[in-house]
Amino acid sequence: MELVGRKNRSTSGPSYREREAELIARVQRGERDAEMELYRAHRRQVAANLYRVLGHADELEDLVQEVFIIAFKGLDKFRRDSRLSTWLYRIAVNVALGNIRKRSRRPRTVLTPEAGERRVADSNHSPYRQVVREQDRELCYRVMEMLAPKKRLVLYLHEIEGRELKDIAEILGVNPVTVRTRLFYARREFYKLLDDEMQRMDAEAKA
Amino acid sequence: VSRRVQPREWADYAADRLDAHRRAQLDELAAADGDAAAARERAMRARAVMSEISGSEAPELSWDSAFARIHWELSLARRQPEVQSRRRWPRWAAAGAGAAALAALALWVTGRPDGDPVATPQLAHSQLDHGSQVIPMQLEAEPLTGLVTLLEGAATRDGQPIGPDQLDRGITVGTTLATTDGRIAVQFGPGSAFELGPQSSVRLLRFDGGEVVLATSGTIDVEVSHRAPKQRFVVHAGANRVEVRGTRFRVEDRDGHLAVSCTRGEVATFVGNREPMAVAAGRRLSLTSGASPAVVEMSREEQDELDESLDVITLDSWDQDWAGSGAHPSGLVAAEAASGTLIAVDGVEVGVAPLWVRVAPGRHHVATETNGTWGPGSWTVVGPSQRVVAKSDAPAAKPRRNRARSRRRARLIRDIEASPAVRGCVRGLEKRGLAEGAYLELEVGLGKSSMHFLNVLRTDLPPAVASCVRRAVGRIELPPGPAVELRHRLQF
Repeated sequence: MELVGRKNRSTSGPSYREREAELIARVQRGERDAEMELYRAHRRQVAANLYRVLGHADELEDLVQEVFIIAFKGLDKFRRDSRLSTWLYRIAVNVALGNIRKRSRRPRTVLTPEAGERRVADSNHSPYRQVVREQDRELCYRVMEMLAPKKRLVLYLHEIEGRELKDIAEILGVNPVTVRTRLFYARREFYKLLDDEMQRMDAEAKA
Repeated sequence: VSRRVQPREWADYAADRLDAHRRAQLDELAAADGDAAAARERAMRARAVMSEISGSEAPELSWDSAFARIHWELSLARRQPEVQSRRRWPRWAAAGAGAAALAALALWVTGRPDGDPVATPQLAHSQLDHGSQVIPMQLEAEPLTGLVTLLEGAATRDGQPIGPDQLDRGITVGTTLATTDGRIAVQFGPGSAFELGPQSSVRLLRFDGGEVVLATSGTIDVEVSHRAPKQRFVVHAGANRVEVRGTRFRVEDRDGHLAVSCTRGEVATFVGNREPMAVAAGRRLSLTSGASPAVVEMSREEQDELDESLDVITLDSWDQDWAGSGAHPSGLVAAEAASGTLIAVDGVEVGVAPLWVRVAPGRHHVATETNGTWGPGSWTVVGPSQRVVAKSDAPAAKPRRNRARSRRRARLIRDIEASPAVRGCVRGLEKRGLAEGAYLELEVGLGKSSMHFLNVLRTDLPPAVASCVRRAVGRIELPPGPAVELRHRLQF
């Protein structure tokens, strides 16, 4: 099973596995150079995963740190039957889930329609399509934020990352049946909300 | 083909997950019906955005400084077992070291030399409310100023009741905060805050960029963002000390029982003269006077619940200079609601009335709950340094709490605590030494003459024992009086 590593595929093969195992052993011995090497090899992928799940870069640096601290401290628990990048992906997703939960319980300023309109006006120099695409992207994350954290994550992994139910269950450490149920309700809720919001936006644009 | 195609099916169409037959049917529908064509267009737009998201890259970060902090955390974690595995000193050496420590403490009290950071003093439990000494600030450290982000119920500052007009006043070193039946939360940095639970107090012994030292009694929830190297965060609970770097945890120190629960990061707990004990995320340290401390794993549910309750209200944007000058560009919002009414701001339950919660300037939605149902709420605009009371959406205000209610509530707590039937339920566990540190949190609704509801909110007791306790509480009879609701934690 390959969960991450679009860019890491070229590194497959026994020699890569051996190098990875050796690197892990050196990290476990406390070698700073090995820590740095492992961090450099995976930091962008971890940051990108977190960024895509969350849709914003607030606290991204803190979250990247959290992922690597959890990973380095728990290297003993890393089973060699999957790649390190896969394992890091699982940690990143769970760290992102924690962050989503935290933010969903915290009062935040609500964007007024005026603020949205201003952004469109500011983008006059950009092509119209790009502005619409940016608005759609923002809307997509805003609607995802309306879902319960667990549903949001399942929806993200399935609809955006294109993961299979079995993979999602493994990443989140839950039963595939639970994932299927969550996904059913998440999809129903998400697409209904997204469609309603898009219709509203289109109507406003026409007016 | 039905003209009512669900948006999720259009999404499957856009993601090419439908078979050819169904796809052709939907194409046919879209060709014949303008609304269906528009729905298909929206689904295609959504799919395009999702594909774009799946290929997006993260912005550039300060990679090296992030690694430096990771390395620091790891080094700290690696040193911890070394400290624990050090050979114990002979008794005479320990006695000598103790004497030397006492002499050093005496020197510190009479005049600490400048320079190296000093070990924080061991505080006697009785000292907490009686002016524990403030630790002098190191010359190079910037003083911190905290800001109240939540005030629920009644609280005092240096013995004086805190009114809404004092909430913008910065919390500085030497301040003592105490609560009766409410809570108070203080933010002192980006992502760093503490919240004092009911019947608790905290004194800020040291409060600067180099070190934060709090002396507490009762319950304190702490969320601390990662400290830079050389920064320390210490909580004294009686004679015990909890030291952290970046984490989220709760310290409860009541009636001789200490509990340190951690949901994120790791804390080091110094119990008396023992070696430091690490309490990692998902674990709880329990200590009853006279017994040995024990670190146990919390259940997943307990962790989730604790993590939720440890979510201290903080502002996303924080600038220490603003807090220090008393000109933080935030406002405070309250709801026009009867005492005890649950309040939500921007869809987040923040506590029960009367309360004030600090929010970023802008439009906020404030709603209240009546009889288990959330009202529609109302929108209110809060400007910098403004205090706004949002209009109530409750159909009828409940009567305010009066003394008769307080007395009845106090009587109920006393009867529960003193009930032989309740104690009898945990006797079996006590005999096996398993009851120490166990707890059960109850929610009781008492009508004029009988109990209306009785729920076990959370407990770490086995289910059979918990329902025994619930039944025992249900049998308690009180003389008729005003209706009251109560949440109470039974500590065994």
